[in-house]
Amino acid sequence: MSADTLGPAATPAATPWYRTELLHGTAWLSWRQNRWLVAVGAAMVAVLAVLLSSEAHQIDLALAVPRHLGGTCGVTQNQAIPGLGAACQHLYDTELSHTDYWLSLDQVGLTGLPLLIGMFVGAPLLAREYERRTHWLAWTQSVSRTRWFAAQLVMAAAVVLLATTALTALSDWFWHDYVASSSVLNNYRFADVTYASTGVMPVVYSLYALALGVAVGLLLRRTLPAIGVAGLLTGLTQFVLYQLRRQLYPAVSVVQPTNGGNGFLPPPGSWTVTSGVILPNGSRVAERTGCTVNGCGPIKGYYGSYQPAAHFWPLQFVESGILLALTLALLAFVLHRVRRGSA
Amino acid sequence: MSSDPITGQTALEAVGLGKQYRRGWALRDCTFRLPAGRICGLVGPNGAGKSTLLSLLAGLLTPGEGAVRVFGLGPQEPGLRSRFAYVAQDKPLYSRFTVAETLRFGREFNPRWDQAAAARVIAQGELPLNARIGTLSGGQRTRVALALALGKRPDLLLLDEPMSDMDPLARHQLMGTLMAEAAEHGTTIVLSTHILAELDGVIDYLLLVDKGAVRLAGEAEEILDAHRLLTGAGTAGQLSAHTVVEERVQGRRLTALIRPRGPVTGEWEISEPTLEELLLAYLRSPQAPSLYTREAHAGQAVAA
Repeated sequence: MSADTLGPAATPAATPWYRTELLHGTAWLSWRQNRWLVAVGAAMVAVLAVLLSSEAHQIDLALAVPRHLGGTCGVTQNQAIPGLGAACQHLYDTELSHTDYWLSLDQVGLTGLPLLIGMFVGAPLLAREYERRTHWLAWTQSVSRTRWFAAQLVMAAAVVLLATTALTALSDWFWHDYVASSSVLNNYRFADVTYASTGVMPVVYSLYALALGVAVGLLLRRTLPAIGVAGLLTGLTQFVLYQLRRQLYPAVSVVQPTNGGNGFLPPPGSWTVTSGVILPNGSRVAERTGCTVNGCGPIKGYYGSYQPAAHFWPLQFVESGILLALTLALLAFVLHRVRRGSA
Repeated sequence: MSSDPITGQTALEAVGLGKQYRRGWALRDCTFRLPAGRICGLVGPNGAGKSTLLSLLAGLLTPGEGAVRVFGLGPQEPGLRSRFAYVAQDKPLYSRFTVAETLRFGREFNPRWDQAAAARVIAQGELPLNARIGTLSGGQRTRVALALALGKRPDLLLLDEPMSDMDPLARHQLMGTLMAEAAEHGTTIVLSTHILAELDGVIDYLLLVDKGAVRLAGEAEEILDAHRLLTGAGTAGQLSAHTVVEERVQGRRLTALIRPRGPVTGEWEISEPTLEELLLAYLRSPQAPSLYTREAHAGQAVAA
């Protein structure tokens, strides 16, 4: 074949702006196939950073006014300083308007993010290959199946890990600096979405959802059903662990005397696990049986158990441990099937 | 590695190979040998088990029974993967990749990659390198898949229905490219097809698979040589001394394909069958005994 017969085919493809020649082998392929994921992950982090920074900036501005006036807002607010009352009112309004909406959205988003990761990153990872049979293409090159799969998985896991860590860090920073320290906002850390969207929860759930999605895709071999089932199973895991969450670490049990009909009162910032009344004969009746505080006649006191605020991290670590163990089991299963199974 | 493939080396050996799907056995008790350097036609009707056999050889399916050796290695052994190339029937490619990226994929995944060989096949079809695979026609995709396979510089090429969606000109061109490849590098080629005309003058080895079993295996010439096509007014009884593959009565004339055992008596027009006549006769006569040439007998080296 002489050069002049090449014709238009000899025109080289346009060189992309990024230099992918830096990557080689399986790493290049997984970059080429997953670069959209990198872009989406980076965009999400950037958007959240901009949003939260701008909210933080608004609150900073409102915070500066009472500080400038030489006073602090709150119950011990110095009424003698002129204008402080108005400044504090402005601060409260600003905090409310600039945290409520975006923070809720951010926390719900971080709670739901694992679901999306399982569905749209995990499930298609193998299912897409099986469906288009491109795994046969990859598996008949000179590279082993294990290396090919490892590259795919590491790429996806790295993006998920980095993106969810960055998103959670941003969210936690905002929560810690602008919500927990605020005097007007709900800073209860055990609240459903607050708990699920802080600490290590989003990262661990995301990695678990990724592994689950990959395993489902491996078994179903079709992208759309895999997306559906992966979403369902991730949601189911979240629901089951949400139900079990309070019992994942030994709770503190206490008995309280009758305190004028207020019922069982755990310390502030703690999470009630069980509560009920103690009857004069010493028997305990859980509140949920319908025996309300005054409905059972004379009572001796209240009993209850709770997770104190100090149990926040131990609880998160136990839940993470369970999820990471499941993640590893799923990945071991997938790896075994990819390596040994029929294609 | 492809320096001396001709001299007695075995490219493929299958012993008692079988694969079962839920519907039943796709391939059963399949035993044969293919010496290196041959161009082997794997023929048989649709659903005969050709694709299953090729996938087993490529290590993409695990056998239900029996075993297969490729250059003396099990299909999953790491050293083997770089020595064979496989083009599946549906020519899977990454549809979002451009042609250039697909070749890059080949380069990144194969240490023996020959960019010039792959680029030649692409250029022959005048495919623009920046075209997305998804926008190509079936025949063009086949060309890219073959470029990928040839660029790998394999010692063994497994091609499943390689030319079925190409126009006659492209088919002719690519057959030429494959032949040149085989001649130059001693590449062993196995190509499956049910278009018998594709094979004439191309293959020198034959593997006829029908209903999951091997019917004919061996040197094409030797197999043709072992058969005679008889036409005449004789009766079927006169042929009982020979192995009769097929008899057909057309009017008062009888046409028979036989494997002669001794001189043929009677008033017959005797000729050597063409490849197509031979294959059709076997496909029409499922009861005809199978035939292996000496080269095609699998040795004892393969243990299940």
